Amino acid sequence: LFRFYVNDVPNDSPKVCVVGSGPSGFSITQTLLKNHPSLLVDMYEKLPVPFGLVRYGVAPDHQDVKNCINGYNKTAESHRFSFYGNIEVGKDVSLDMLWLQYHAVILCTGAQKERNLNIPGQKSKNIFTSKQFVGWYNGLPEYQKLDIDLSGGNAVIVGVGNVALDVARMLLKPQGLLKETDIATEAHEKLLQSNIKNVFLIGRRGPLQMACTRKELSEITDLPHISTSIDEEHFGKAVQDALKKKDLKRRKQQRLVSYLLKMAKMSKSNVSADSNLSVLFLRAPLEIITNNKLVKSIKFLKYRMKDDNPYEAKPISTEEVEEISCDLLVSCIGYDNEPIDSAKIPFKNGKIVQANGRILDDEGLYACGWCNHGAKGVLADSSNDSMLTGSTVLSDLQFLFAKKGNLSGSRQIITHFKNSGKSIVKWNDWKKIDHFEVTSGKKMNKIREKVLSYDEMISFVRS
Amino acid sequence: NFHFSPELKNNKVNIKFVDRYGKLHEAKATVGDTLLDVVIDNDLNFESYGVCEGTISCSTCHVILDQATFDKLEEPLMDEYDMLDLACGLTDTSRLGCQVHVTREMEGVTFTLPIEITDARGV
Ligand SMILES: Cc1cc2nc3c(=O)[nH]c(=O)nc-3n(C[C@H](O)[C@H](O)[C@H](O)COP(=O)(O)OP(=O)(O)OC[C@H]3O[C@@H](n4cnc5c(N)ncnc54)[C@H](O)[C@@H]3O)c2cc1C
Ligand code: FES
Repeated sequence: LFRFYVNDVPNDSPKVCVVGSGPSGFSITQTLLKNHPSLLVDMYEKLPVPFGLVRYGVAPDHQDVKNCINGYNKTAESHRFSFYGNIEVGKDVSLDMLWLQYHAVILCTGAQKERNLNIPGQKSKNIFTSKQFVGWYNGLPEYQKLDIDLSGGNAVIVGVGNVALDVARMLLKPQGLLKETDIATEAHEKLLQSNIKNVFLIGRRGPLQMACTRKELSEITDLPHISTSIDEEHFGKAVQDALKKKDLKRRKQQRLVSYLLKMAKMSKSNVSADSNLSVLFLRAPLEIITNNKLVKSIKFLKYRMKDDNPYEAKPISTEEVEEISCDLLVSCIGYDNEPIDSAKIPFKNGKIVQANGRILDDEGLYACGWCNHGAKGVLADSSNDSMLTGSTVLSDLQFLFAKKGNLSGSRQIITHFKNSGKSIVKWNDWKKIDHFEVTSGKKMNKIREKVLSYDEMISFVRS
Repeated sequence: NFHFSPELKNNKVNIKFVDRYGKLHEAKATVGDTLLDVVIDNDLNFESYGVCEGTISCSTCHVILDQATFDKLEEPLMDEYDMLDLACGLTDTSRLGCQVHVTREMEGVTFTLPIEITDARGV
């Protein structure tokens, strides 16, 4: 699988460029540095701050997940690693430029394009995508001014994946429990005033297609003063039979669905609750009804499942339409891939064309993580993927070095930016921002108080 | 302190790990420690191993046990099952390294890191 170079270290070192500083960027950097004695890694990140969705996606009450940052920090301390933040590849610097200066270029840019509902009325007020809503509470600068109105009682979330559950949890969690996290303070204050009492999670398909885990669901249902409503009709004989078969590959779904079934059976009992979570399956969004441009309700077309194989869901329309009253709508229906340079990167059926992470062998272009496989899976999947792409890169490096010869890496690119006056956030600058955020947080009894504007982040570069 | 008490000596067992590339590593393990502790204390430096630092939030510490060793341990708790659900290349004898504590009976036992790479992707 691997070829090592311990015995024939080239005169000068191979230069590798990693684009993006999320989990896959950092894991692949770690793999490369560990398995090669001399290569150098330069990481380019479009934002002034690192860590991608670990900073701006993972929920503030999932701090343990963010422990991975400690490992990334260790990787970043290597003298063979450099970080260049505030540089967007494809805009500030072209791919052409990068593969002239590097033996290998590895795209770790994540899945950046959010899917839309594509139904009439979706431009109305108080309708958001998960990227906006999650970015808002996580302090992503571009979404701090979102006009989110939480004064109504009903929130509808389209989607039943882990992101949908994050959003539901943030709306239903007794807000004292978020106070000490790294949640954006203004968002937190707004959530404290929220009147949302009923949250509806809407899935297009059946319970066995729900893309979250039992744990993520129980994080909501275990909250005090929350009742749940789930329709028992979704758990027909075929589903119950499927649950009985021991199937390791589907254990995750089986445990989730058994849990859903248990909740469905308890549904009616809890009347003293303050808030309610309803999970509705087999409904496709049809139309948004507004009042004065403000979302008022949403119509769904109901489906039923062909009852033979519940794993291979083939929903059939019932032509029955249902209207659910809705004061806030958040769509959490996934992210798509989008190549950063469509002229240069082969792209088919919404995916980068690659094999074992290799996109173009003669140029030394690779992909890893969510930009490679789409927005699926958790940190462990990104780590695994970076080991796969990492071993491909390592086995190609000798060839690429022979072909391209000694290269200068970041030198010319950085000089170019210095001349044009563009601020580059180096790792030490990020350390200053990080220190500032942690210190500000401490004063408020929080883990971290994030800086909420890019200009302010960049002001640390000069100080 | 040049005195080795037999008890102290008994506190250590020799175990082995097979890493994701099939390479065998030997490790001295203190009874009672977790396998994650052992990996760290022995500087085994497996890539992307234990990234949540033992807080049952990542599943990257996934190890595969032999059946006999697996059977001797108590059932995993709910939290561990939840995280194992997300592990790549899950097997019938999979455990989280951060939740398995070293016992005296583990002398000579080998733990294997999963190699299956794309299994958990796509629900
Ligand atoms: C809302 C949400 C919650 C989640 N919660 C969890 C959780 O609790 N536990 C868990 O294990 N996983 C969770 N995940 C999944 C986890 O975040 C992903 O698996 C992981 O972040 C994917 O890593 P990545 O490096 O491929 O992409 P990303 O994390 O998206 O990183 C991509 C990076 O590339 C940068 N970039 C993009 N384009 C360019 C460009 N042109 N030039 C330079 N840089 C660029 C981006 O700014 C970003 O920093 C969650 C995901 C989301 C969306
Ligand atoms: S170290 Fe993360 S689950 Fe064990």
